[in-house]
Amino acid sequence: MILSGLTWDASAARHSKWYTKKNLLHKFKRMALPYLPALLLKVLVLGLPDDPLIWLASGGYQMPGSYYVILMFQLILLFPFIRRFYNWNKSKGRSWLVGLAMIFLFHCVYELLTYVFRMPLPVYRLLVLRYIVFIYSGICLHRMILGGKLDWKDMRWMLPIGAAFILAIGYLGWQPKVLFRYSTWYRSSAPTVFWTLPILALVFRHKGKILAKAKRWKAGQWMYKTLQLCGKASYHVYIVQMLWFGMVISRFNTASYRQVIILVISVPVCCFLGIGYYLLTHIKITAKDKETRDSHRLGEMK
Amino acid sequence: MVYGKEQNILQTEHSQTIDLLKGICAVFVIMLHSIPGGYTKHTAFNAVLRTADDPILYDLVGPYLGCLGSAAL
Repeated sequence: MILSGLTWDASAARHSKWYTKKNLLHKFKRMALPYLPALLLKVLVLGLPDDPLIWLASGGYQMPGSYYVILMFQLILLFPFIRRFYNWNKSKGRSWLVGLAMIFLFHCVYELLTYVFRMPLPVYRLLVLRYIVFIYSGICLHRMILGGKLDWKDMRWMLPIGAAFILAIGYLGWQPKVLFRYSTWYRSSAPTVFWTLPILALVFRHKGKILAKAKRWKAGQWMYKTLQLCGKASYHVYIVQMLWFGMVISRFNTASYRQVIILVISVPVCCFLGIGYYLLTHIKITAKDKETRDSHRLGEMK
Repeated sequence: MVYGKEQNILQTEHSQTIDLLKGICAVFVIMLHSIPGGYTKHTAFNAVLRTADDPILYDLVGPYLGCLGSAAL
């Protein structure tokens, strides 16, 4: 989600206006088109549900990560507001940290409201607000990179806070009761941003060294290229893993002794199928773009 | 701020880094879904914390108290 905030901010900088039919449709298509075949496959295998409208609004059958597409659709509409908040904060001369603290506070209020109104888990799961801190920190990171002011040392103090939260939630069995109380989402709830953000900043700070080291050895080069391709196709890999775990792996008994086997099989299968799916759609889109460009050129010549 | 050719190089490096990070994230997601709940839970720790009456205090202080306690142990 931090990376989504970062890349969407870069995308927003390229468009003078976000809420244009062309831009919204383009973003919607980029999200929806790779997802539709997956949705169709789910219907073909699992059949049609009783209430198709609610089913469609919730992203279809509940599968590992199936919420993501619905969150992205919401983010298309919400993103300019988050970005505007960052700009407004900057225009007031406040540091990015003050903005992050304000957003975090807003997030806590939101969490409190979900507690007061007893928001059901399936609804909470499908609302992008639970990731607002991450998206905002992605915007902060992007602006720091753009401004050449990325200093991860300013963020070091965050690490113990994030580490303490993750350690308590993930390893020591601590269970919150009011804020961040949804057990399914403990490990990706707002306080974990204090762990993730400095690590990402560190990576971007030393990206030159990391990339150079990765390219030094043959195995490193192969790994780097595969991961990079995986990154380009990350949305497609995500869709494939959703179907893989939701429709294939869920049919087997996943007892602990088999989990290592599942892991060893799942990583290459999902990555390579996802990359294949991406290349297939990408080639189609590139061909279509070329066709459009050629028809424009012909029109100009006439 | 950086401009011109240097900016172009930086932008390429950034997009390469972003792709690399996205790739790592994608692999992590698959790993996470392969081994759900692959961690140990310290139940005694949680039982101690449950004795706190105020749930908000429990939420806010819990992780730090827990880590301090674990470190002390």
